[in-house]
Amino acid sequence: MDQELISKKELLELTGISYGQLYRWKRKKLIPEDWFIRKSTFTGQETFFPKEKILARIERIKELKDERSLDELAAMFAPDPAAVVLTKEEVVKRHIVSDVVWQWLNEQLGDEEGVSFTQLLSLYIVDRLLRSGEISVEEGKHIWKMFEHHYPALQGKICELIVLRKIGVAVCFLLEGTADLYVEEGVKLVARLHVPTYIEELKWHISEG
Amino acid sequence: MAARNLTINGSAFSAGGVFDHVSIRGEATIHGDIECDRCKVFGSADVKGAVTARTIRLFGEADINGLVRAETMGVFGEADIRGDAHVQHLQLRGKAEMKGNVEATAIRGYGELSVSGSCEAETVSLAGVVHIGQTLNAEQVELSLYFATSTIKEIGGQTIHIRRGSKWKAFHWLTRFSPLTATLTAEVIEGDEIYLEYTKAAVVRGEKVTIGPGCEIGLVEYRTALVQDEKAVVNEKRQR
Repeated sequence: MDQELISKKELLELTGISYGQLYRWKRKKLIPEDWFIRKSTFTGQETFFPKEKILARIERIKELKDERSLDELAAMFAPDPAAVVLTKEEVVKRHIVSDVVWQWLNEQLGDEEGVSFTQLLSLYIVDRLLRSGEISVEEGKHIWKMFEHHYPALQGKICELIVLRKIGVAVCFLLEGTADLYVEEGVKLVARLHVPTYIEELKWHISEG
Repeated sequence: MAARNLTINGSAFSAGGVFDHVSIRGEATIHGDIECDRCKVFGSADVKGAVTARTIRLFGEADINGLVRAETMGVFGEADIRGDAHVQHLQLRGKAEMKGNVEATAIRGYGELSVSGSCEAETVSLAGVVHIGQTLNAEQVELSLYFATSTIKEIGGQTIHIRRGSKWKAFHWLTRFSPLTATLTAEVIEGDEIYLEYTKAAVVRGEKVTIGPGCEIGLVEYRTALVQDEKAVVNEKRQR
């Protein structure tokens, strides 16, 4: 996975934060451990960050740090979703997922009123995929089932959702951590989603109300 | 459920479990996890599992194979912890060797602290010898160097003060016998306010940096101010 990196020094210059702040936010788990990428350079070891992600994250922290405590922020950014339970009504009201996907959930839930974070997350991710036009509704259903079934084992960990397709047959799976993928020729990598990113987005939707 | 106490006087084995008080006087081997309110060891304890307690006080020797979780942990003898330690207050009066990572609110005291992984805390105030394999990340770092060379791969935080010890008066009669030779070796030190003495480091980066006597620094990058002692060596300085 190629991503543009930014050195710690450049990051501090660009954002105007201090070393003390950066280390504090890391300690408070506002910045995930795996974004600190250590590389040897001619001046010794240097720390780099995935540029896009860290800049977005620091902007977000700077926006919010006056209104909310660092612990509240940490809860928001943590890859381990808090025990969020929404009612059906709230999910509809906040337009978290599109109507098609909402129907699936409604059928699954039956009379139950509460929607757990995991349920919501799996639908949210499938919804995003559907909206991107990369997958069909039928495939979406498969991904949804797979995600709901396997995600609890990975909860709180960093993972990616991978969707591959060969001659019209789609295969999806969850990958713990981040690793390089090498697939045979003729296989199309339909989607590769970094799950924590979506968790954050979803939390954001929920907390905004 | 009213929890039982576990008391071992002499020498015994235990399977572990949930207790109110655990006190070990003598020698004990515990084959499982312990969960308790207070745990005291006078003598020697070998715990094969994890220890979760409100307070842990070790006056002798303790080997713990698993995780340690506690609100306060006092090490007045020697502790050898294989797993990670999540302790709010770690009080050191002896020697603690941690093979995993340490997360704490405050780490204070004197003696020898070795952490193979990273060590994170709000306050770290130690006198003696400190070895940290990865990063020491704390809001405030106060180290008084005594006895021998300390090594820390990376220090990061808001305020970082490294001094050759003279802070703890109780140490003076001890240090009379050996000349003061304690130093700190680090690869990177990064903070907002940095004061260093007798420190060897490849790179020091900060807002306000003071390089005191006995330092050998490869590169100093500072933003607002740099003060350098005449007995310090700095190969290269850059203002950002």
